[in-house]
Amino acid sequence: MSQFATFRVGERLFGLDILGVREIIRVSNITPVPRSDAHIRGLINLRGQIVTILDLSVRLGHEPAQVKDSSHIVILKHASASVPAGGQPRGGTADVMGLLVDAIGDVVEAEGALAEAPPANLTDAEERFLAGVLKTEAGLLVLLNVQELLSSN
Amino acid sequence: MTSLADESIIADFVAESREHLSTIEPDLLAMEDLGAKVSQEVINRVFRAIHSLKGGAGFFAFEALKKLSHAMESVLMLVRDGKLHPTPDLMDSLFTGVDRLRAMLDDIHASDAVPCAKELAGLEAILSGQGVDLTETVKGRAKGTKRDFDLDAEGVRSALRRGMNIYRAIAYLHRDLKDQGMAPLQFLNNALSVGTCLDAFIDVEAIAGLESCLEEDLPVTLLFASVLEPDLAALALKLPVEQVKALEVKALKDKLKAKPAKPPEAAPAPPPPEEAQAAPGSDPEDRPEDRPEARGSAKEGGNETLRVRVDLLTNLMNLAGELVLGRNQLVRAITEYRNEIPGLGAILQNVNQVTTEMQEGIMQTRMQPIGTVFNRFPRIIRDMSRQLGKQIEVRIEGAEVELDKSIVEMLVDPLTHIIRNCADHAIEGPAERKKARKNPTGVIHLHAYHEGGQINIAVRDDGRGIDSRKVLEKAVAKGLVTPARAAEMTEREIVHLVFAPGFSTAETVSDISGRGVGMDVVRTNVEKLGGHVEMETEVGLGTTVRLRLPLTLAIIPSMIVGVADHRFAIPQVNVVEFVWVKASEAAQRIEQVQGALVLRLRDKLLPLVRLADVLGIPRVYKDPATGETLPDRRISIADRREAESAEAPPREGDRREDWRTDHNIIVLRVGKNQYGVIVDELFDIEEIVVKPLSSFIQGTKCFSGATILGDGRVIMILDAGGLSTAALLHFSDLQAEELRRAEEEKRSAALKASRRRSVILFEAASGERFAVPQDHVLRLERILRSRIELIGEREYIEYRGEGLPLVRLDRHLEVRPLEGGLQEYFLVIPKIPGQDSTARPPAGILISEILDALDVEVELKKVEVRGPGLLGSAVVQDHLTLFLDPVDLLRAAGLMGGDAA
Repeated sequence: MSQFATFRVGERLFGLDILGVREIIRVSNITPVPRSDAHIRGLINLRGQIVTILDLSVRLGHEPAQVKDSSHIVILKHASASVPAGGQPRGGTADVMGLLVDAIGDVVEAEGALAEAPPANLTDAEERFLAGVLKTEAGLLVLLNVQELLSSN
Repeated sequence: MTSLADESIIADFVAESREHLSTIEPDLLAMEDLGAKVSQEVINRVFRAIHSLKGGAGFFAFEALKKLSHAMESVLMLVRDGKLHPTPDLMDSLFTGVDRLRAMLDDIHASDAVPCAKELAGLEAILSGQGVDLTETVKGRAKGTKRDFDLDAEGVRSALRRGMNIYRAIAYLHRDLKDQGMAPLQFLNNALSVGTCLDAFIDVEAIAGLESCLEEDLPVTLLFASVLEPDLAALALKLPVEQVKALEVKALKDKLKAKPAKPPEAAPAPPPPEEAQAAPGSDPEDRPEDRPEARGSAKEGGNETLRVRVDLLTNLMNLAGELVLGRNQLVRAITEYRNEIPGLGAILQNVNQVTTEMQEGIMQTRMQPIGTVFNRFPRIIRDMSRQLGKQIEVRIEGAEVELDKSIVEMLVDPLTHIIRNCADHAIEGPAERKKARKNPTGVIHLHAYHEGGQINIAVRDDGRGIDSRKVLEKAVAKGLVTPARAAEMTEREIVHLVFAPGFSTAETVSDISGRGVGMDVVRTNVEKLGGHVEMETEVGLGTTVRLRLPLTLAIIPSMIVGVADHRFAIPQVNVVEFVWVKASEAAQRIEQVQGALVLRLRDKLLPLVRLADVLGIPRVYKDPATGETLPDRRISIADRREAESAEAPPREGDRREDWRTDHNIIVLRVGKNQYGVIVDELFDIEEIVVKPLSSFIQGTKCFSGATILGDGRVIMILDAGGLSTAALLHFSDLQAEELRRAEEEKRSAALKASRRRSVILFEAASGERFAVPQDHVLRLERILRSRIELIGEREYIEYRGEGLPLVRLDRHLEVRPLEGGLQEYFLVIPKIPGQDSTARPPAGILISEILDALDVEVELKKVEVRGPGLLGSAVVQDHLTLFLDPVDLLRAAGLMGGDAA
């Protein structure tokens, strides 16, 4: 039995394995990074650690997200920089990433990703990051592939 | 069996071993070159490298690797002990052995498949020639255990000869290593730092047998020789005492003595140098950062120093930085309650101080004495001087000066480069030095010292110095400077050409006295650290290269600037100065050259970039009336037009007048180039803690890191070099333009000189100023009003016995009349061209006061005042002044050659 953290980007419900989520926070001041890729929303200060925020909406091929009251940042456990051989990530240099989403949903329990057909109207980008589809009470839940989301292109 | 070691550990081992092999290559070459004369140190280095490779191979059970390295080690041992000389044949087998080892490391899991029989046979033949049989083993048994070990006889012999004890140490993979956060390789290196590893293996039988109570915890058995006593050995290995057992040495000795084929032991080998026992990890070529710690823990038994992981320190330092920020926020937040809560002030002060001290203390832990780098140079120089046939002495001063560890590490290469250059090019041979009446022994002086919050490192030699003429010749030949530019360069500029990229190439540069090899690399490296390089030289006396470096990379004073609502930090080392250009001056000081903005600064042309433009931030300006922030649509500063916009809003007044066009320009330094960055706002200088950038952002090139300000806000740190690249600044174009302008200026200066004129400044009616060119004036006279006589419409005065007609300006020009109440007037008596000075003047111009006679450089403008005799107007001494042509005026007054004649 796996648990999935769910969140909305636009109208669609997405999910991530909850084991890959470190925490979910409200949106604080995001410092934009000039000249960076469009899907880099900026940097935030999370208790002294600088976290790079991806605009999930842009990453999935939509317009940049508008920050609303319901907006949240999903901080990932996964460090995007590959962990150097030897086991320990070097102190301080591990990238901590967060995803800017429009709203947070419930935690959903399921027996892994069932073989549901993906929704028909996915964008190319959404299809690229698709890891599976779950049928839930709230509708179809599109599971995201974190590795792919954090890959550099 | 390799399943115990996960792939990453094996990968570490392979990487480390490869490094070992590549570092011993030059040493092997040295052995071949010098033969029997090769230094013990070189042999030891090779020996240690092969030895630790063997240890690891045994540990991970790579049989072929272990066998071959063991054979090579045995040969090296004999060479070390002086029993074999490094003959070409012997070296051949070592070289081919290294090649094989490398091939095995290339695919470590298939290493057993790499054929090495030929190499092994060659090595064994050498060994058997010395009566050493690799297959000869000795049974050893640890006290209190049942099992015997097969030990390689030669290894045991060598260890016993040196008075070492032989231990069997058991380390449990999980309990002793993994849970203690120690990688198996680290454990092995640890053992190698206190002794010699004879064998390492996984004791499979032990698992099945007596120690099986610890399920699945694999015991790793290490047989090693060390001079340490058992309890100390256990401590050094960080193992419980009961897991380290001494082998019964006496029994071993007896067994060895009983062997017939014993090598001649009559001449006992000289005691090996102490380094023989040091860990490969403390090899100076290899991971210098480990050295002090490794030594410390080995020698002082961990009492006075402690080995701490660097990432732990880095983390601590980051946290300390955060603590400082947190304290600042705290202080800000509760200041208003200070008076309400008794004692709060004292508490705050205490927290404040402890935080500061803690931060400093943690910073200290990362500091390392520069001596760790300096101390390697005497050896390098000794080797080099022998090779070069020179006599060179290295003197070290300030080795105790401390720098951040990362800086110390990154200094190794540049300093080595500089010092090699000293020995290679700067210091002359003994004969040449004698001829120059110098001490035949040259001196390289290394000096580190603090100055102004920075560290200075000076490398001084008393060699031949740099001949600037030759440098210049070469620079011109290579096209680094134009001959025209060369003619204007100062001595200092010329010497600094050696730092220019492309100045030195692979071809030999010995034709240039002094140094100059790869100095651009030195400069680049030092600048990467946020430092500078300077050079002074005197032909015949020597050269000094001076590096200026920040104390630490982690905390840097930075200037905080603002563009629109973005904030950025600029490290202060990059900031040269701050220039404020007032709106009214902008048009004169900021201009366009070949489409790029430049600032005129003290006769220099400084390329300018708008930070907003480089970073793609929409420009804004603040409306002074409403305080609103609005988008700025102007194209550039120099060009005052506004961008054409389809829906141009109605303009209220002229925005040029009320727009705040003062420019804040920060002049930044990149190498020897400078450029100006236009920002909207300037804030304080703050000490910032540098945080590395996420790999997602590194591609932007404009930033070197990020930081968190006191208010918790994240800001980016600008990279001066990256910014200039991103802004596509072409410094060389500007230099050409600068040159062109300097020439133009020379020409125009000459032109201006010709335009200068001497004038006489006077007033007619009070406040109305006039000027006449001095060469149009014959004389100035003072007259009394009472002496003016009126005849008809015209006034006269007696002048040298004749009547001189007077001209009042207000009669002919639209100016005010002279005040009537004056008792005294002055006369300007014009000089008529073509008449000599003794001729009678036609008339005098009546004025009220003479102000000055001076040289002015003016461009006359057309005046609105109408009338004859007006040359134009100009501002002289801050007053609008009308320039007169007296002859023209007199002509208009009908006095030229008329009735006066």
